Amino acid sequence: MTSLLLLGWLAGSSAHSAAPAGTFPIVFEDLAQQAGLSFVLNNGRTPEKHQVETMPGGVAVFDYDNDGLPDIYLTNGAEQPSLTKTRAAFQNRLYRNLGNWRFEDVTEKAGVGGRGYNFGVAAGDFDNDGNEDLFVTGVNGNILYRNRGDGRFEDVTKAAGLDGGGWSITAAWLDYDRDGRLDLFVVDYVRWDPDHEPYCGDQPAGLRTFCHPRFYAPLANHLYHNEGNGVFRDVSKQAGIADAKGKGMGIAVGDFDGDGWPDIFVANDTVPNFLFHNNRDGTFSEVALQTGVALNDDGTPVSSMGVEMRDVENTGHEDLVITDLAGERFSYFHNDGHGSFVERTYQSRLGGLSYRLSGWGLGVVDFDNDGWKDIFTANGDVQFNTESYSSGDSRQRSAVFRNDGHGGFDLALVGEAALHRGVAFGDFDGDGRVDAVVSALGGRVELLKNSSPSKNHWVSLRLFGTKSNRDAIGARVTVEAGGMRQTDHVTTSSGYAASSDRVVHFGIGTARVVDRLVIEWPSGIRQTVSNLACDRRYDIREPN
Amino acid sequence: MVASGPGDLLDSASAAYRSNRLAEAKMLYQQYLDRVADRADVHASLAACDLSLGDLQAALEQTQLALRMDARLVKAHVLLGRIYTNTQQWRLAQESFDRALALNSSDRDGLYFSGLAFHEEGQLQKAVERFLKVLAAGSVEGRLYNHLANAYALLGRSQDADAAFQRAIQLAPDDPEILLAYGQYLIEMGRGNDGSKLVRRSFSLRPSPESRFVLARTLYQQAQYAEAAALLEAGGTESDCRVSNLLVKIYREQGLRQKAQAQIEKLTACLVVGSNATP
Repeated sequence: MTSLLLLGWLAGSSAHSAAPAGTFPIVFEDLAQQAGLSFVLNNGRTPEKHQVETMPGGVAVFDYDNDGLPDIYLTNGAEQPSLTKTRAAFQNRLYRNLGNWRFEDVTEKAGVGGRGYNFGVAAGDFDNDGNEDLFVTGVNGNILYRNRGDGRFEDVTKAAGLDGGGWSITAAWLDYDRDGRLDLFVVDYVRWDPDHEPYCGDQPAGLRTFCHPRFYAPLANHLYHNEGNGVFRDVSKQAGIADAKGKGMGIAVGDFDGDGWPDIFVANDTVPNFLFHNNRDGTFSEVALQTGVALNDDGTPVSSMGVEMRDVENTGHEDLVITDLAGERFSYFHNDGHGSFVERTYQSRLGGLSYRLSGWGLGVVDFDNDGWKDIFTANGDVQFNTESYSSGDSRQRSAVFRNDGHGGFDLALVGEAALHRGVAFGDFDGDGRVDAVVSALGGRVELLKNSSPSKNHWVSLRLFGTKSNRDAIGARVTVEAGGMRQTDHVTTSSGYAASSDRVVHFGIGTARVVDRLVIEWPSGIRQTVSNLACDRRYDIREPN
Repeated sequence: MVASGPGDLLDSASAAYRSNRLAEAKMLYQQYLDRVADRADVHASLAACDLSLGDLQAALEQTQLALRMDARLVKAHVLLGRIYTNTQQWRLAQESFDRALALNSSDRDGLYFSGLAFHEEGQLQKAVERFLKVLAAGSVEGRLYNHLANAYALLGRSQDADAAFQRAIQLAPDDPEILLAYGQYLIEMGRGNDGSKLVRRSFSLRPSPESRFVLARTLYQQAQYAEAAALLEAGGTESDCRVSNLLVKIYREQGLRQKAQAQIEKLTACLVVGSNATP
């Protein structure tokens, strides 16, 4: 059954919601049920309120079978205290896109049910064999699934040297040294021991809550270099990553200073964020304080969770959007084009509009194809019993912040209220409108078909590296159409614990032709294409 | 000042309390109680002094003493609620306020402080209900509308918040706290130009560290870097992480690398101290 989900503007936001209800130009419908997506995110909930229980919900949108249709992978929790997947309800799930909004559960056949308590997922072709592989994070162990290209995956974690412990939330594939092979950055959260979970809340009243992160020690992140023979080498220390200990939840990879080398932003929970600037010699410098993104303008380290680094304002420079908890306001850092950021949380209205939302996953995508990237956030409070001690809501609706093209956003809420966590994006039906998959704790996954009525035009690009890594992750794309110039880059890293389709999508408004397309490949090759017709996807190979 | 009889002592103590001469008021109440020990209401007044002076233990002892003498003393129940509010014992606080309101359902202080406690606890809807009851009881004060507006703002009821802020300003046009609160609210809602005018007026009336910081932050966000830096520098930056953080950003925009670096070092030290804080 189809239900129309995006119903109106945020009630009470009189300062901003100038348009009448029903006129919001971005619309989604939840097709999960009819599409055969029955996945329920099972966190193995306990009365002890173990910290892990509020964190899962990884989602990946990737084309595992190379049929041109993006598929869906969802991570899951495990039983406690064993942290094992003791029954089918805890399995991670892979759904194959059959077309026409029908999906088939191929988890068993593909062999990707996971093990342990899982969180994030990152898709990337680490061995350049033309098949997208999966890295799945977890507590006390991560998993690297190699895609064999025959519909099945094999667990190569140990052979790859990625069988470490700790608590990893998310990960991203990137080619930090531009050697043509995808390396791996793994974001770790906190030191956690289920046998020593502190009691937080009001004990006499029997009101137990998840503890504040300050009760847990921070951890360093890990950078693994792809040695090219199926083996990864931990280079965290020599690369200058291990020196920075934080409470990482989100990662965004981009090139904030435009020097052609990928930089890494890590969103930290209640401690200052990290921005690792690529020194172009295999090392990084942590420059978040210097560049103005460690803390907001109030000097407060907020509960940063999801993050995206994209060119929101079409300036040619990548900005940062960060989700956090209700009462903190989602952050928006504008890239000033000189290697620094200026916070525009309030000026953009994102701050005022997000005050009562706890955001986890997010995406910066042009949903109405008007040439301006919008923001989607998957919302839900960290606590499940928020109503019992405050005026906040534990279950929240997802949100779309539409970019008005003048530095501001307008808000509409999407779907049903739930404990939403991860979200990933892809165009499941190839209609040129980017769709979304949203996970929710204890709830059924949402498959949100983008049904926006806009007649705007679009192009999307699937790039194939030859000298560069095969996924072309790190390629920068500039599109000129209808007098507008837009930039984006190839990445699968997405928001919180998620991985989106690597296809790069541009809305081009009323223009019917892309006048000029420039691709700056990670190898350094610069490719220019002119006069591309609109409303189609192009597969482009890196020239020799 | 030398007071002759117990009645004079009490009058003088009350006058001192109203004038915010708290230490003097406390001394006079104690002198009175040395002579007349069985006045529950005076023990409550002494407790109010202790509470205002931040001596919660003494305030608690005097309040409990007052309630042992007179369990129906509304003022003492309210004080007990305020003491528990200070220690974030929300349930005990509201039980005390409820006892006060059971004795007098329109007691202004009982409703008002209960509303503040609900607000602080995050129970904003209940805070609003209490503030509206104070208004219904006939208390028309700028500060009250300010609290109401803040609660509405946090609930996302921006039209109501705007109206309550405007009423607060109307009632107390020169109250720096209200001007700052409304100004900050407008800035956060993306109305920076309107908000900064109010913040600037608040700062000119009473240059508190908070109004100084908010004004400087707004000026920075409006690219008025020199004035923002001057404001913060004039206020001193000792052990204030947020001031150092803002100065880093301002100096960076001004191209003052050395000054920015000095603030980064200060901020780094400040953040290390913060991260070592005991949970």
